[in-house]
Amino acid sequence: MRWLQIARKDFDDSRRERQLYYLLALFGLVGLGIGYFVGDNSAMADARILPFFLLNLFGFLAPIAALTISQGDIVGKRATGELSVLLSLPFSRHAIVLGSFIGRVAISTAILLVTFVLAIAVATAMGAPFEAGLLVGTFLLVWAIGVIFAAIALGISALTRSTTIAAGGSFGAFLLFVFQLWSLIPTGIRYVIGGLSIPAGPRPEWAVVFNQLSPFAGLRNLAQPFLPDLLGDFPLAPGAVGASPPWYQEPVFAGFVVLAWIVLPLAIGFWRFQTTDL
Amino acid sequence: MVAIDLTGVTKTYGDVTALQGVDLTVEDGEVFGFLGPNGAGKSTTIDILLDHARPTAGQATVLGMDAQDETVAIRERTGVLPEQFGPLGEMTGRQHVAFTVEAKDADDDPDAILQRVGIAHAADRPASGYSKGMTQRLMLGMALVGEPELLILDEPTTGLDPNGARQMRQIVHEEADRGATVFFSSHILEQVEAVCDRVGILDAGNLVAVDSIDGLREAAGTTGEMAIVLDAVPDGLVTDLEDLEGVTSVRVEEDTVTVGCENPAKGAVVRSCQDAGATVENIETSEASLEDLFAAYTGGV
Repeated sequence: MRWLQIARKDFDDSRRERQLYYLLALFGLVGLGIGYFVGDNSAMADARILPFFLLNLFGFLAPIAALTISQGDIVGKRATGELSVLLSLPFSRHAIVLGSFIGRVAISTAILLVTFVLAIAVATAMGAPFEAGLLVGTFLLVWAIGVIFAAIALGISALTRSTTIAAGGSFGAFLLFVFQLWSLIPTGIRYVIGGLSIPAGPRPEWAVVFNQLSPFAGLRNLAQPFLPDLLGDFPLAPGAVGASPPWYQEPVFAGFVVLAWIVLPLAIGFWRFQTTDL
Repeated sequence: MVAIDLTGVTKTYGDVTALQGVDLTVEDGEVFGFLGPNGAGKSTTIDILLDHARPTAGQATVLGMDAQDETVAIRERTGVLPEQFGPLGEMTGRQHVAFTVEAKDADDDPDAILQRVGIAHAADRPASGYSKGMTQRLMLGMALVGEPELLILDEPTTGLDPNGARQMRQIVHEEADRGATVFFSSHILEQVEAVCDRVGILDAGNLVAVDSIDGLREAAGTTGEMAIVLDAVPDGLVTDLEDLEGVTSVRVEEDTVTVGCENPAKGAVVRSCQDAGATVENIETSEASLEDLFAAYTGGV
């Protein structure tokens, strides 16, 4: 259970470095703003309005925060010599990667919980309708986004020995998924294999499937049956989910996609971290 | 029991060979000094013992366990002052030691540890604000947590003031008396001479000698010097002395003859001076310094 000690230290580090408080202040303010805005507009007397704003704002902010706080977590400790101190104590490299990940997830969980509670408290106090199931679903969705991006950034952080590469890699992940450069990749491939000409005609199935493999698409496809009203138009994932979704949009398949985005980055980072010299 | 055992350990980084077929055994309860110039491979050896680096070839065991496969179990029973160290986030000195106590499942009092390494006054300050020497003392304190069977200290005195270096030697003595094995690297010879039972000399990745300091002196054949003050230096004395067995050098400076020679030849040297008709007014002898020893083994000047 030594990973637990690393996880606790990781969370406490964030508190001691005040990073936790800055993020709490920033997210809390946005949460209060959303709560006030929704509560103040009686025209928005629809229980879907508050979760809609929460999802679309924090679906965008949570990845940024998760990438920012996680990208330097291992590579930075390597640069300062902290890692060589930790690895002189009885911690395995496995405990360091796992503990750091759990620690970062705990930080983003704490921040998102406070933020959601603030937003919901203000909105309902001002008379906005409240629907628990929808709000819990939204929270879980945003939370899962944070988990995925913490895993991606931490994987990169364990993979490289350069803090510059770690920062660049995380920014790349942001562009790829939040800015959705991911969905341009199939078009690029078709452009190249088509002899450098603009692809024409309907998209082949592999291109459509590829688009549904992004973390946001996976999450949307997984949550669609539970939050159908909310995810009809989810700006972070391409396409929409129809009444009878194809295999690559089935919740079970989407569940594997989401799981892969958490497990694979960590596994690849750990595999490299495990075999490399400090 | 054997505390540390290296068999044919080789480590290369690309074209650079950091260690070349090193065989070394450190017995239980020994204080072993690991000497060598900068870049000789001392830290690489320690990195391999702690699984911070993997050997290219060969095998390392620590406390009878494989350095790679059982590294956590090794580190449970070993206290380490690593070559590269940085504070753990923004923890205070006391939190550092308490964290180590928890990790090692020990029951030491953090304040007592900090007292022992001389930084009790800074216990409540974040270690990120410590000076280099203070951080080093803190790291030494963390190494002492849990009364480890083995202490691995990488350049423990570098960066410490003379007082700190003295305290460090004191602590090494105390730990050795308790029964711990101490393995430490250094390029400062006096530190090694003062505390070590045996030393190993590493040069350019090769272990060139392992012995007690006296043994090394003998084996290297480095001789001492004898300075003899005479009333006057008679003609022909220098040639007579140079012809004596065991004499390696003769220098004359005013009325003083300085003779480099082995111990058994010293009597003959004095007799020759008297036979030549000079009155011996004073004799000073000195042993070969560790510097000379070091130079003899590592080919430095």
